[in-house]
Amino acid sequence: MIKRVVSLVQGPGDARAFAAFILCAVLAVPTGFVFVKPAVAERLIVHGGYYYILAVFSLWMYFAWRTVTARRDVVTGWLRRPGWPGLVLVAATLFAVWSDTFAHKVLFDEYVLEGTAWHMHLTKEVGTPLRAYDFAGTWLVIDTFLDKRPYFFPFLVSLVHDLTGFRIANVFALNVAVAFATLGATYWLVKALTSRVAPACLAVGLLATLPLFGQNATGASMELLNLGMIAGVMVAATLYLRVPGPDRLSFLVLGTVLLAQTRYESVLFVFPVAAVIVVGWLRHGRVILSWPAIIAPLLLVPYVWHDRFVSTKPILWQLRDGEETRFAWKYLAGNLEGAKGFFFSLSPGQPNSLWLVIVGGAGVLWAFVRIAQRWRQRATLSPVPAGFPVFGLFALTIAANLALLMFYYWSRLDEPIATRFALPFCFALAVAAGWVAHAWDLRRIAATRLAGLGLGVWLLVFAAPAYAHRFYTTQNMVLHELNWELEQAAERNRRGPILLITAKATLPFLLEKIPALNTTIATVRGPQIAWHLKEGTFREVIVSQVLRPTSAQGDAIVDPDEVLPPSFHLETLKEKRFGGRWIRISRLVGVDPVPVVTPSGQ
Amino acid sequence: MTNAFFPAFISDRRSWLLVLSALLAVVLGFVAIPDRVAITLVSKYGFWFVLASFVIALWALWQTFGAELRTWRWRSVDVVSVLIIAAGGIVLLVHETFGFKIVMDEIMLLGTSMSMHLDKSALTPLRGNDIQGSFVVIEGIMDKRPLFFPFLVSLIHDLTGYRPTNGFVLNAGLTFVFLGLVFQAGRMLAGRVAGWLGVVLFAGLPLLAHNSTGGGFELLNLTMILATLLLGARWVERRDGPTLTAFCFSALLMAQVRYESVIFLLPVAILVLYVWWQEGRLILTWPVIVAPLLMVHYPLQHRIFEIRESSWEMVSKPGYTTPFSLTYIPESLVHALKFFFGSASDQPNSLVLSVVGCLALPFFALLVLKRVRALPQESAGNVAVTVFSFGFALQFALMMCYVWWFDEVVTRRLSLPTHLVMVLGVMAVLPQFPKPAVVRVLLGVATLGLVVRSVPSMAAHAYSQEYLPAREVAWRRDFMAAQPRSDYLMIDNDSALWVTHRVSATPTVVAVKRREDIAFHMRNRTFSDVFVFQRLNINPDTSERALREGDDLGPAFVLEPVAEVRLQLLTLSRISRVREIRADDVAISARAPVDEASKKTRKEIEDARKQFLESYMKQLP
Repeated sequence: MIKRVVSLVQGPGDARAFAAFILCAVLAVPTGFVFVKPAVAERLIVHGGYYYILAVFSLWMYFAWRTVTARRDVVTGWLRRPGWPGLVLVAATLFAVWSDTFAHKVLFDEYVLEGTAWHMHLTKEVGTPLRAYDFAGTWLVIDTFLDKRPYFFPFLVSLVHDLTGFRIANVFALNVAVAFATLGATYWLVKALTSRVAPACLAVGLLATLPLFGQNATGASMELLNLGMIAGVMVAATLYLRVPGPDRLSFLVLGTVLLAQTRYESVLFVFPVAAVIVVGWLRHGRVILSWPAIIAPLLLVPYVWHDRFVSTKPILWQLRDGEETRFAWKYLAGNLEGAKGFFFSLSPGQPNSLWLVIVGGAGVLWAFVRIAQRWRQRATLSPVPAGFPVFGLFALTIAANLALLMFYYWSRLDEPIATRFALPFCFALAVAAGWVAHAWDLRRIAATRLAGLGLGVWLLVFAAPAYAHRFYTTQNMVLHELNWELEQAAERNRRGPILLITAKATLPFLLEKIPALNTTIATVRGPQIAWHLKEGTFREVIVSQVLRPTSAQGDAIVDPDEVLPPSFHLETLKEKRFGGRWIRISRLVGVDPVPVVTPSGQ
Repeated sequence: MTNAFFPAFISDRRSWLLVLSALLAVVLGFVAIPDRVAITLVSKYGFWFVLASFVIALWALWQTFGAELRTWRWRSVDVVSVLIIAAGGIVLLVHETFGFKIVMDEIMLLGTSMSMHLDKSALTPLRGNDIQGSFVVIEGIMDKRPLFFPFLVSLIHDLTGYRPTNGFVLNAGLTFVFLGLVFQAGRMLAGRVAGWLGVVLFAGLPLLAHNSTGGGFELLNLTMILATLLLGARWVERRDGPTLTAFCFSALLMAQVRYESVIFLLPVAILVLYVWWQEGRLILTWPVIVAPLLMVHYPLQHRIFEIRESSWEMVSKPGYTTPFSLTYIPESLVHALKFFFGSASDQPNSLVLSVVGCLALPFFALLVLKRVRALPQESAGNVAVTVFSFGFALQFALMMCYVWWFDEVVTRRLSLPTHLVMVLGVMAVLPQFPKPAVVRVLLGVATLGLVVRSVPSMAAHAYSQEYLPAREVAWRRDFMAAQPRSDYLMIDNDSALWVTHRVSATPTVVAVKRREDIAFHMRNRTFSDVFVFQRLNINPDTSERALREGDDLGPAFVLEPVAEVRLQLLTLSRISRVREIRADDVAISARAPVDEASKKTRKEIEDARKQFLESYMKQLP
């Protein structure tokens, strides 16, 4: 294979480009893994990460523009007369947005992303605020940390802040726009596979009516961007494979770099993209390498730095009690059970779509049948259209990604926080469903109509109660707790400045410009808190604690992790129950002075 | 006319399938299924029967009207008529406050729509609580009211999210649809101006305004009767399968709006047979063949009246033992006249409509008798109105045999179909007057009546002020709106009102029995507060206040009044906070002090949480 690729290098120009690419690839490995220590990598990302992602994004947009304008007639024609597909895409987006409420659903993650975006907006540095105070009227962040999450999503949110002003809700606007783009890309991909509108609309319908899709379209997480980028890179790969050229290659490669910076494991998509590029070379009969493709390995170095930094900080892994590693065999059985519980559930408690799984599953099985048939007739068949190898390679990667997640410590797909990991797989099922409906239509089975009808029945019978209850969102008790705490804190803050001590993340409060301190820090900063309380920096210090029952009759105690030292004197203001526990809001009445340690007589 | 129908009927296999379907429906609906099972079946599957009928009806309407809709153009709109309909609808909607006008009917309908929306079941919730962040209905009962109205409200919930006010939205929309149909009927019978007359007559009826701004099914009932009549006329005219399906399924849904509307299935059947007979052939579609089976849940649901004697609500009418009797007719007629010609402060009537309608009805009766003898020579609209007039007559007769009267607050709405036949009668009689001045004069009189009598009557709506339950519901809804969160428990015998507004609630009688459980929840701060709603009756001689029967929680509950209102001279409505619950003079609801620390391990605390949740669920009020 390598020989065959090398044989495609024709002329000195190609040879130089190929050599430069090899050089970059070779250079990227030690730069990423050896030369730079994690501590240095952290500083580089904090201070230079924003400019790196800005540069990659700008280039990506530039090559997207060049790719689009090369077929200006087709694009403008569609934009001017989108017809029924345009209406379907708008309706599908509206449906997804209607199906859930705008809220932060994966609480810590989404607030961290919001916080990073806010910090990027203010300082053009990659960092997540931990502490912030009002200094002479300026809301100033005084303590930040580098989070484990890739920063393409916060970067985009910060761009929206830059353009429209800071608003917490900007993230929702971005996700709605990404939802529309994702559905549009889904439509385009299925249309590319089938050359028909109806199966493409079916795939869009299946994806938009998946409650999980709506949940994320109205959330503040990076999941939908990840999905949108996967779909976008697939579109770029198909375009490249149809007519390989430098601009399309650059668009594809830069999209892949951005995809790798969207979710941790999305770096896996580098492999199918590399395969697509090689297939393009083989189809074209020569090596095509644009300068962004040549430096692509170096563009992935910051990802490696970030990953190495995270590996040195186990606290960022968010492991639970008794867990020591992120990936292990011992998680497999539970995760498989969770995956079964998610994909095949008919309960309104899961944001899944059994109909999507059935039709998409049929598509996957039929794809295997067709591959086997083609394999036997390979000598006499012409090459398949560009969309098929792209979809095949990406679907394999998505499946491999899901398989990898089955070994991850927090991947039970039937758990509210982990269901989002199923989104790329559901997307692949939707594309497979559109394709199989078309394939069976050709065999006179009217599969598109039947699948559409089945979707209608599924919506009426099973999805309607799920949308009505939205258990998968409403039963997120921490969401209710946090909303209540925010409400209480904001109400008290309106009367004068307060300091909030909480065991939860401080970010939701900092984003609302309410000074907040983590309980563990507060326990060692008693005298300082008391000093500020005495000096009037804060009108009052409010403490939020979780109370837990210790018997069937209740008998509440303060959660052991949230107990303040006995020197902190609290006066209970409010208590509210959330599921099987309570949140207590108290006022800090005083802090006993630290006893002066006197040396013994000896 | 031809006699070829019978051979055609007998030789056509589809006719036997229809007979078989009807027989099967009768056996299933009336014989084969025991009462209790019947109620369970309707509660679980009733929604799907209505949905199937609704989908078929929509499909059939598209089939029959599709060609016309495709050629429809904006310039063909009769702008003046649209403006009159819009103005009429606005007049009906702007004077009264939107609210629940008939208690508990409208709350029960809302409750059924809520469970249809949440679980696709047809139960009215009685107990509901916030469990793990979601408001969940814990217990409900099958209501006696037919399912089509709550079904439509549940569709609005499905599309726009659950809101207790969605019933008002539906009724507001139906007001315009109904006036549009009235206009259409008038135009069909006597021309465009007669259509305007019908719209103005109804726009001036305060009873209609009262129901347009409520959450009841009366407006849907009127709309469905009129829509079915108009589809009947179309069936007589077009005589094709899609129109028959639309007509039959409109009738099927109409029968599922109000109990007695099933009467109108008789004129529907007559019209179907009339056309078959005239055609000498069977025009039959598959949906119509299965239609009887889609009505099975109706008689099954009606078994509630056999299981629950209280469904007839005879307790509210002391001195009467049976709901229907021929002996009631004279008294009912007197009360009907009192309603139609009562003063504006007492009755939501329209004098113009009553006078014109009562004058027209005898002539309309004569006209019907004349037309029955020469039906084939009449226009399709006249045939439909003639046949439907028998349905209206039967409905009126039934109401006259009913234990409730037209001039009673809760049952005035039963006169609405009679108002409809009055207006239809006026429209039907109008062509007998060759001079167009007659209809114009009537239109002027109706407009004058609307301005000088109806609008002031609607604006004051004094006729509804004596109905305390509706005003108490409005007051309680104001209380709900004033609370920052709906995380409190309300003790109220009308618990369905609170549950349908997603507030945890339990009936007073249950609270008394489950005192210990409520104390458990107070100790554990399950609810931010526990309130109780009570009504006190005031003795006119001594001014002493006494709790209404069933409202007393007993001495164990220590109450602190938080809101009070005197909605009528001799009643006081009160909401109190339950401060504590006592047993043997010891408070059992006080919060135990919270320990700052515990020696329990994480696992022990997690196990305790599960035990607590189990205990919490078992003790939910």
